[in-house]
Amino acid sequence: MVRRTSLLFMLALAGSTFAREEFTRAFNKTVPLHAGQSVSVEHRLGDIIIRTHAQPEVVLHADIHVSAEDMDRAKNFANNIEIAVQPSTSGLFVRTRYPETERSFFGNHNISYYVRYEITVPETAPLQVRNSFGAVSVAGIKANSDITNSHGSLEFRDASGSQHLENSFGSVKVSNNVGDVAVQTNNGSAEVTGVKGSLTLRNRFGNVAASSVSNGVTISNGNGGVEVTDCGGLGDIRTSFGSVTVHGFRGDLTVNDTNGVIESTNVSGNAELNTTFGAVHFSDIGHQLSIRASNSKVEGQRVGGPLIVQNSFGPVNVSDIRQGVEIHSGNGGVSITGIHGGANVRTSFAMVQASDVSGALSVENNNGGVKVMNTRGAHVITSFAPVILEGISGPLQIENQNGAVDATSSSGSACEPITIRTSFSTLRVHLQGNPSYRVNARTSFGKIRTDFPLSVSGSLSNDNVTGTIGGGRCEMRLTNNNGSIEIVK
Amino acid sequence: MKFECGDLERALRTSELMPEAREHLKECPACRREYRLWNEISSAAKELHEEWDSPALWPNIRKQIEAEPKERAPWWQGWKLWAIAAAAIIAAVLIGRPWQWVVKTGTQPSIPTALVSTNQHFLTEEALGEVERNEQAYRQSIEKLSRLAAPKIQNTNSPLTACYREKLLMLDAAISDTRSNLEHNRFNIRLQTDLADLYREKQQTLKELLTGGQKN
Repeated sequence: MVRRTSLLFMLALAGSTFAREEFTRAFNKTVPLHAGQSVSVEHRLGDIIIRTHAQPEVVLHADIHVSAEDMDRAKNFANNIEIAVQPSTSGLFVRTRYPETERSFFGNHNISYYVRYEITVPETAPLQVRNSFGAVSVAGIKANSDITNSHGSLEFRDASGSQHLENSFGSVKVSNNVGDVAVQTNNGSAEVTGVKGSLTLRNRFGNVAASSVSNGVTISNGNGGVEVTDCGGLGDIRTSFGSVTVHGFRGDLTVNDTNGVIESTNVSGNAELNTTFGAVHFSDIGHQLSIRASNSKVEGQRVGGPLIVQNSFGPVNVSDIRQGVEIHSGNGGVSITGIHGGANVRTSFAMVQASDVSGALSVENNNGGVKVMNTRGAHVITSFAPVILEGISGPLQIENQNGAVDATSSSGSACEPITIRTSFSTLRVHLQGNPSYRVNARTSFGKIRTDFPLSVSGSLSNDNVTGTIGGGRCEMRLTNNNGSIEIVK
Repeated sequence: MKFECGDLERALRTSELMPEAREHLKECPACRREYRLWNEISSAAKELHEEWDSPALWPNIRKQIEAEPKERAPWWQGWKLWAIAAAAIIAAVLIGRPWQWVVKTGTQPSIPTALVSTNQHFLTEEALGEVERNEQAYRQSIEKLSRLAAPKIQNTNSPLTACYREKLLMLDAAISDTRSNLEHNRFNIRLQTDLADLYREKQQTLKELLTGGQKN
């Protein structure tokens, strides 16, 4: 048994006892290329490095590496690897042709190989490259190029012209191109910087970053994050299951995300930010900002134009909006402050807080409290929750059910109409200065009390009062049901 | 008659080598190595054959060999029977000794840095053996994960699951492509590394799918 086991081990290790040999062969060729002619390279299994020069010729250098059981086989195989260089009227075509690998005693292919190119081309020659299982690096091209790679990184820099770059299962890095750039990647990251032109980028399953693109950014990603910095033109960004971050965009921006966070700052034009199941953060948007989200937290500040938000199941907190806000939410609290212009807020089952609104405020809530400070008028509808208003300088209209109301009018002698209705709770109105109201207060199962001298002009009872405070210039209608009414200083 | 390497296969069919063949072996190291291997495998196979407890094995092997395409038959084609038989025997014995094949779920394939050749582009024989063993173990662990994930992939229609499904299909295609290239270029470190990366990514994707994890 011992002998048998030993033999088996010997057999198993038999292959590994053979030493391997490596052979390297260099291929060099220089081919003239006329103006307007292109260079095409078709390769696999090895890197391609392409650089440029001013001469009208293509300088080809290839290192052919082969590993085999012995030097003869390695050398023989290396000599049979063909670097086909085919000039034509349209340009130069370079292709790698590998011979068939022979099988070993065990049926395996025991030869391995790769070829690495270094090619110098005229800088104005259009370029086409196809490669797989190797990296591609191109620098200095001043013409259009079309590069497709897979299973290896792709680097492209310091160029001009219209560029089309594709890669899969490998990263793409592009820097400094004068002209439009189109990038398509799959399962790899993409990083593009310094494009004087537009960028169109499509990706799946990888992160994408673009910076310093001057004339428009269109990014379509899936299952990957997007980061855009200091770009301009028209921005159109789409992704899913990944975050989108935009810092600095000169122009209009649209972001459509699903299941991802959006963060957008310093956008000079209009912005439209849409997502689901991810927060939206924004600041310093130049013009109109429109947000459509669900199950998201929305927060931000400093919008130069109007702000329109649609959300559900998430809070909305915004401040310093220059041309009014319109917020439609549900099952999420809303907090707005520092609004220049009017504010229209609708939500349910959550608190609404508004302060420092220079225009009219309208709040429609359901089963949620409302707290308002320093607005020019307020129209509030809610139920089953308290309403507290302070420093309201315009007309005041509140409709509540089953919730207390505590409202302070700061109109003073300016006199603005007040209409408040609630039930099953206290209704209290604070008046400042020298108020002047025609009061009509009515309740049931509660009392009516006032700190101000009231000249009764109609009925007077514990639950129904009609009269005037001061000169009686404005109308005050207070209606309660199963709760008291108080008019206090 | 001048004996050449291509004649060795025919020569080995006889019970004893011809004098020309013996003369050739003295001068040709490659044929000498093949001849030595043939002897070792023949001996091992003869000794172990009686222990094999599956009566269907040999007919199956023969059927498989007969079904093999006949194109480009090299000189050692007739040895395939022996080669496959020996490989099957070795595999069977090794599988029967679990200490040789402890496979842990989550094991990741790696290429030992000490086992690559000096210019870092090709593996050595020893490293390749280790890498291929690791790959097999890794594939088994991923297959386990795939089996666990299969009901979720097939029965759930959420957008997230659709994405995972798409990614797994894409990874499988890439793995197949890489393996196909590796078959002809087994010592190429780039290909081996690419394959390891793809397996790693597939394992990670399956884990994310099973744990319901999101990237955000």
